[in-house]
Amino acid sequence: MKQPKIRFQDVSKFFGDQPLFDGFNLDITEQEIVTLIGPSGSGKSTLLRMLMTLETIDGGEIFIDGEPLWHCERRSKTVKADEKHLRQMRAKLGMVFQHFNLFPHMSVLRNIAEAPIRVLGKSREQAYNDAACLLEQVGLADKADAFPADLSGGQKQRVGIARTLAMQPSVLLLDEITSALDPELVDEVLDVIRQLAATQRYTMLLVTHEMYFAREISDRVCFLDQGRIVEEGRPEQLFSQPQSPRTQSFLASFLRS
Amino acid sequence: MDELYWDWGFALEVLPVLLQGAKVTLLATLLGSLLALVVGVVLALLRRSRLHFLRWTARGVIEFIRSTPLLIQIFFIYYITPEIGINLSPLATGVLALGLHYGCYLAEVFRAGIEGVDHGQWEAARALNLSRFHTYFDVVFPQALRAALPATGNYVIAMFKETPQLSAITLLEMMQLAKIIGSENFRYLEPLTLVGVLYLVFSLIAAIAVLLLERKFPPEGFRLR
Ligand SMILES: Nc1ncnc2c1ncn2[C@@H]1O[C@H](COP(=O)(O)OP(=O)(O)OP(=O)(O)O)[C@@H](O)[C@H]1O
Ligand SMILES: [Mg+2]
Repeated sequence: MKQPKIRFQDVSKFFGDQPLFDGFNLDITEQEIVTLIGPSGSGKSTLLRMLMTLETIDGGEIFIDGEPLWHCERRSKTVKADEKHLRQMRAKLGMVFQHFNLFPHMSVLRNIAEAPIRVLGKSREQAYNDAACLLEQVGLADKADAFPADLSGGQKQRVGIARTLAMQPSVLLLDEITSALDPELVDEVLDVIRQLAATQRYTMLLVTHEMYFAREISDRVCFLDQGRIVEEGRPEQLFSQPQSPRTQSFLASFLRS
Repeated sequence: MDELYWDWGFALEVLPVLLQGAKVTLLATLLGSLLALVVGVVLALLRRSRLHFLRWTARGVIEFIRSTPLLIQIFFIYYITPEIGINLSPLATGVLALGLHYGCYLAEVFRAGIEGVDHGQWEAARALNLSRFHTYFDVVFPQALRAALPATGNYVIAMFKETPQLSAITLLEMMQLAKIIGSENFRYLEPLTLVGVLYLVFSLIAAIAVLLLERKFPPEGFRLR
């Protein structure tokens, strides 16, 4: 069997002495698009953040391409991952944030080119050229010299996506990337993701409350509750015939609102 | 005592001397500010160090220096440094004292500035794999220093107005020269008034400069390169 692109193995995570995850397992195949749904506080963001190394883990391991994220080999001993190892692993990952987190003091173009220059060591010219291409791809070619403060929420998020893509990750982590947006701006952002899913080969792990979007884009949907996957399956199956009562009531509450 | 009257001739006569003193005052302020900036950034970073020992040392230094008078620190440096074999000019002593003293105030301003930077900025920097160095210098400092700009400007102006204290160690700055002129000529009105006016003028210029800087770097978006 092919090794999974991402594997959560027996992962545990505590906040205080309260376990959020306790022996959590999840495999994601290369190029698979997996959507996490679930009630607030169920741990969806934490899952993505542990993978992005924004949150540590308290037990178990996360593997990317079969390689452990939180441990590494040093002098033929397995030790806690150091920054060097984490930086190597992070290079495969890209995250888009709910609140964009653009750098407010940099132009749109610089926001996108910053990390390629500083991390990938691209020349300024090359990085700006590539950034301009990405801006065109997300439909903002004319905003290169604008500042984040000059943009609408939807435009900011499209810059956020371009900034993430500029680092050429193979895995995209998208945590409620449209939930800070006015409803009329949601689709311009989702269209960019649809486009990516249709034309590129990213592995995607996303959290969304846009159920119609989850349904159309996902290969697999996981319903998470209290740090456990209660139910998972193909979207058409999970949305039309949810098996677990908790999934049913969660989806029902969505239909009502 | 003579009647108090303003002697324009005398005023014009002493003005060039006082302006010489103004140069020293401005130089001490400028160098003191630069030193304070460096000391402030370093202490602010030490305050955030992962090492307990460094955090508490920095904190101790800051508290100690902020709770003792500048004048005592000036004297202390002036009289103690020669004892340990370091001979500093009055200007160097003054710059050192001002820089250390105000550096401790700036450290707290910068620390607040750094802590005020949105947590999401650190997370974005990490997700983009920026090194610690670039996270600080490209992402955090520009925003933190921008937030600290008004308070920093106030401290620089405050430092400028404290420079007369350096006359205590015979630095020939404006105030010291005014006192010398006054005692030699038995006339204090003109030199002291002129010094007051010069302080006012320079403070106003500095305040306007800070305002212009604030306008050049609007918090919602500014270009660094
Ligand atoms: N840094 C933290 N310190 C303490 N508790 C935390 C922390 N981060 C998350 N939690 C807790 O962990 C639980 C899961 O949080 P998480 O943000 O992962 O949920 P979520 O599924 O993303 O919810 P939402 O739909 O509201 O975004 C919550 O109960 C939250 O209070
Ligand atoms: Mg969340």
